Amino acid sequence: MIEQLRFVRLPARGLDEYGQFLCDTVGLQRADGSDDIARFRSDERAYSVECDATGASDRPVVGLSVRYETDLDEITGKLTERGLNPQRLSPEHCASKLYRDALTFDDHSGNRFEIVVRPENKSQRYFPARDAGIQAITSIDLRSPDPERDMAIWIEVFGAQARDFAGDCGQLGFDEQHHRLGYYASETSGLLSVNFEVGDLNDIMRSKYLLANRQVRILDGPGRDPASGEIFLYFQGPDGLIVSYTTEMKHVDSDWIPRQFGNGRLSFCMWNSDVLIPERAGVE
Amino acid sequence: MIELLDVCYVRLGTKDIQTSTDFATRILGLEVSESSRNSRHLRSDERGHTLYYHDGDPNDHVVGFEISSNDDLDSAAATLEAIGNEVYRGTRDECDSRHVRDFISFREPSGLKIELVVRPEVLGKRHFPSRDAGISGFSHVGIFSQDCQRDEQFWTQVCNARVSDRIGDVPLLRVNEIHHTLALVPSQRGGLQHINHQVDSTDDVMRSYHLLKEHNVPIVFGPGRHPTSGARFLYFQGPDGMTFEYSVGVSEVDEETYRERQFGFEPFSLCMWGAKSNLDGLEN
Repeated sequence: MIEQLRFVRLPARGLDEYGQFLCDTVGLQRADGSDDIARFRSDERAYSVECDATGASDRPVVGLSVRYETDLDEITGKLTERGLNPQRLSPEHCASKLYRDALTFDDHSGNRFEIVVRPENKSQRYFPARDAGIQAITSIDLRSPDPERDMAIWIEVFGAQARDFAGDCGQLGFDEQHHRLGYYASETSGLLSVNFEVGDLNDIMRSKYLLANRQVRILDGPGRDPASGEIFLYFQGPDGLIVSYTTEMKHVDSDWIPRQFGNGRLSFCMWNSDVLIPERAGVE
Repeated sequence: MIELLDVCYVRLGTKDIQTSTDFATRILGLEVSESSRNSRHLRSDERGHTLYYHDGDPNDHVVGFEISSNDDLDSAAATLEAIGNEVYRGTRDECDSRHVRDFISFREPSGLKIELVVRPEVLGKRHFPSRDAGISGFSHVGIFSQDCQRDEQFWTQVCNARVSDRIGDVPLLRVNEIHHTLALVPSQRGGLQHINHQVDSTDDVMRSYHLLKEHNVPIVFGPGRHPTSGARFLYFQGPDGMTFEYSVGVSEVDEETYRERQFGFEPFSLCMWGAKSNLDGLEN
C-alpha cells in the first residue's frame, strides 16, 4: 500500500544553521520556502527535507505516500482499531505542503508520520549545492523502545515487510529496495537519521575526507551493513540531527525471508568501523 | 633489453625475526611456507614464497623479478655488464634457498639490490592464509629513487618496463598488462619504499583498515583511491619501518591502445578521495 518514502520535516528553532548544513555540507538544493519554512531537494521531489520554525510540531515528521485518497479512509479505520489516533489533515495544510490529501498519526512510541496522497514532484531537475553525488532520499532510521510493536503497524496496516533484524532492531521495506525504514532499539523514540543515496563508494569516501577536513563529526563509518549490503557514512548535523550517505543497498524479491543477525557491532557494520551512535553500537 | 615478466619476491633483513614473522602472519595475513632458525619464507598466493625475512640488516632489501630462461639470464648479465653494472651469479645453494632454477643479482641505479630469477617455484598445495585478509597475491613494489628521470630510463631502456602514468616526475611502470609493477618514489636514499599485496574486494581493504587501527598499526595513507590505476588502497607500517599496502581494483593496460597520462604533482593525484599521504617521499 505504501508507495514511497517522501520527506522528513524537522522542527527547527532557527533556519540558518540548518540551511548551511543541508546545502553546504550535505549538498541538498534549496527549494521554495518562506520566512519560517525552509525546504530542500535531493531528487525529483519538490522537497525531501523541510525545516519548520513555525512551532507547528514538537517532533520530526516522516512523510510516506499512498496512491488514493480512499486509502486514507481505510488506514484511518485500521489505525483506530489498533488504538492509535489518526487525524485527517486540513486541505489548507495539504495545499501548503504540496500534496492532495493526508493523515497524521504517531506510532506507539510517539514517532510522528504523515501519510500523503499525490505529493508534488518538480519538473526542474535536482541540482545539488555541492558534488556529494546525492541521488535521492532513500531511508529513515527511527528510535523506539519497542521496535517489534511499532514495526507491526507498518506490516499489518500498511503492507510493509520486515526485511532483516539485528538484535531487537529491524528494517522495513515496501518496495524492491532492502529497506526504507529502520527501527532501532532505544530508551527513547525519535528520529535517528535521514539517509541519502549517493552514486558509489567514491562519493562516500570523498565525503569522508571532505567532512573530516571541515570538522564535521563522523558518527559511524565508512562502514557496510551486512544485512542490506549498503555502505554508509553517518555524520552530525545541528540540534542532534544525523544524516547519512549510503550506496550499494541491495534489492530484494517479494519472497525475501527476513534474517536475524546477532546484537553485536558486526551486525551493524561488517567492517567494524568506529561508531558514536549508541543504538548502532550493538552489545558484545 | 632485459625482459622482466613479473616481480616475484622481496627479501628483507630484520633484527627480530619473530616480530617480523608475527606481523607478516597475524597482521598482514601471509602464510609461513618454510621456517628456519634465522629465516622465514612467506606465501601470498600459489607461488612458494613472495616474501622472505632473514636475520640481518633491516636496510638490506632485495627485489626479485622473474625472467623467462637461462638464455635471457645470460644476455641480461651481458647487458648489465656492458653498461658498467657489477653482476653476481647465484650459487647452487643460494638458488636452492630461493627455490629458483638460477639467478643473477645487481644494483639498480639508486642502489637497491635486484635479483633476476629463472623458474621460481609454484606450490601444488593450496595457499592457506594465516588470517582472512582476502589477499590474492603479492603484486608490486615502490622503490626509492635519487633521480626519477635517470632511473626511469634504466627501467624503460635497459629493461622492458613501460610508463603507465606519471605523477609529476614519479613514474608508474608496468612490465605486463597490470597498470604498474614498479613505482619510483623520489628520495635521498635508495631501497624499497613499499610492498603491495592485492586483496579481493573493497570490503577487505576496509575490514583491514579497522583491524589495523585496533592493533595500533600506524596507517600511513588511506583508505584511498589512486586516480592513476583506479586501485582502492591502504598503506600501513610494518616492522623496521617498512610500508605495506593492500589494494584492489588496479587497472589492466591494453598495450596496443594505451597512452600514459601526466598527472600533476599534487595530493589528489595520489588519492582522488582526498586522503592525506604520509608516504615516505610523497608526504602531503
